[in-house]
Amino acid sequence: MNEAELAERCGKADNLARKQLYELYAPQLMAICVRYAGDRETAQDILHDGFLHIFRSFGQFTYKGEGSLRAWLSRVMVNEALGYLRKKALSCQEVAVEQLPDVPDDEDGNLEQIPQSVLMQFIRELPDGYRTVFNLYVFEEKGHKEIAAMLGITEHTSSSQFYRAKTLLMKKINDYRKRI
Amino acid sequence: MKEEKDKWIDNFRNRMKDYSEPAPADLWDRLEEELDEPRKVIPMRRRWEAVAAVALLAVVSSLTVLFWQSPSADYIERQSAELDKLPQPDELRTEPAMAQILPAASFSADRQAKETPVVTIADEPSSVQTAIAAEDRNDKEETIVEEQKAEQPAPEMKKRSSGRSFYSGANTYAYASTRKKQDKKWSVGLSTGNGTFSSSAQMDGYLSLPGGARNALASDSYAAQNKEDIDKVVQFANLAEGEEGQSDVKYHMPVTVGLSFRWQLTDYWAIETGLTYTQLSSETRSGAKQNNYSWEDKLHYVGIPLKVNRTIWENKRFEVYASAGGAVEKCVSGKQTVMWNTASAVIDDSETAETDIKVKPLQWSLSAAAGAQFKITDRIGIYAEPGVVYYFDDGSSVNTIRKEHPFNFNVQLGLRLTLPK
Repeated sequence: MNEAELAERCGKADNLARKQLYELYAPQLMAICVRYAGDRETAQDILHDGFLHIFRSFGQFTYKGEGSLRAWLSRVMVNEALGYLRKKALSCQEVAVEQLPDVPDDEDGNLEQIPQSVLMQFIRELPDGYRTVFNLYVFEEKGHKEIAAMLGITEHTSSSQFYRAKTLLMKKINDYRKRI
Repeated sequence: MKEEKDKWIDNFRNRMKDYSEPAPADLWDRLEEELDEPRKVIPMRRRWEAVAAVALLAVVSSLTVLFWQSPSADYIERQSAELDKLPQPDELRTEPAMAQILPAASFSADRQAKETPVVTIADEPSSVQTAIAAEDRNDKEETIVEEQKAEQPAPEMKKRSSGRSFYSGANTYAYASTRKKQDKKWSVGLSTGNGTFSSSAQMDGYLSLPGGARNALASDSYAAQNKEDIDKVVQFANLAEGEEGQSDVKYHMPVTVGLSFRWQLTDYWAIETGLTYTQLSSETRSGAKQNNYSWEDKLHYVGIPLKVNRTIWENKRFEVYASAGGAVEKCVSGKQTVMWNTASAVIDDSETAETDIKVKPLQWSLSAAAGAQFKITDRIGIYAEPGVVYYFDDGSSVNTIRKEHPFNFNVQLGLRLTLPK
């Protein structure tokens, strides 16, 4: 079953196809959920709700070529996660500037050789607000203007949160490198 | 620097691109269950359907009972009164007169009556008995009744009783199959086995026989029928006296006992067949207080059903389901037992006689029921299934309640063996 066929059968509420879709995409989507939620437990709830949403609104999906299914699934899941975070009203959480660590210029936060799971762990450790903006900016490739609109914050808040998120991450990465 | 930072972002993105987290193992099961919810609502709807079905059953059965319990007694009384005004020739003592039969049909305009009891009156100089009542179901309008002298039993009669002969042929036991309670009263000396449930049909042919033969009427339509022709006779002397008589017919609720085999097709759907046994019985008592006769009819049916079951709700021990299907039944045996009770001098003993009833055609039916089952083990359960049944006309001459009231209520009890999918 290719992506198009899978999508079509899911659209017809074929349970077998749905299961296959789940097995195929759940791990990646789970990663998105964890990345936004910060903790696995919350991520599972989001994944669950997101999948229900996905299966129930499959009629709205139109296949537009390879990768479009995955993109759509990710989008739905991100929205689910944002909705969740919005509900928690945590997306605007600020961290005092003075808490930001200094990042030496000579340390560029080189990502090589750092396991994905460690990077994920670092993202998860970010404060909710930073993490959300960071996720949207980096992984969803949204501009600050867009992010500001999505989260109901100002563009400035978005960019400063992103900057702080990045700074925190680099610090963590650098610390990590020093340990190994 | 800025470029480098952007590069870092790209790196980060690419680095994490294919990252995935183990999805919770049980999530799919939960999802599947919840995605089924729209379908799970169906059981809810089914529950309502079941409730509706039960309500329908209750309504149907109570309406039926009401209908059955409100015979057109008034009409019958009126009719009897009219008959009483008819001239009553007392001179009919000749042989020809004896064989007279009064078809009910001749008295009633309603030819649609399916059963017409006939009354025959015989007046013999000697100890004669007049009486009779019988009904016939061969045609819709005639009957068989006959009279017979106690001292002169007709050779053809199959009687097991003593001197009085009565005979009920295959045609007369129609009421045997009735199944509900019916209390009817009519004033009259007329006897008859009525067995119908439809009141209009019953009126036809119920005649009061005060003191004698109503030969005028009888001779017209049944002149051809003489004594020899009539071999089905029910004779009862006292009815001729014109005393207030009364007939009560009690129809027992039919209960079907079954052995059922069910194949589970899916979690909800199953198909089943088996073997059922149904006894239809009725008791009729007719006549006056002191002089009367009564009979009991019993028909035994063995049937094979074929049904589709839909589980509505179940747990480990109980199951509620809806069922629809059909069945074919064969009457394997039938008996009519007649008892005479009299205080008169003419007939001084209480007597009983038994005759066989035969129904050859198969009885086909369609049914819908709500059932409840108690599971003794996973495979074996006992069940009770109240439901409605529609009986097709079996084409036989036996006019059973299934013909009079093809749409009926019944209860089936049984043992069920369920085979898993």
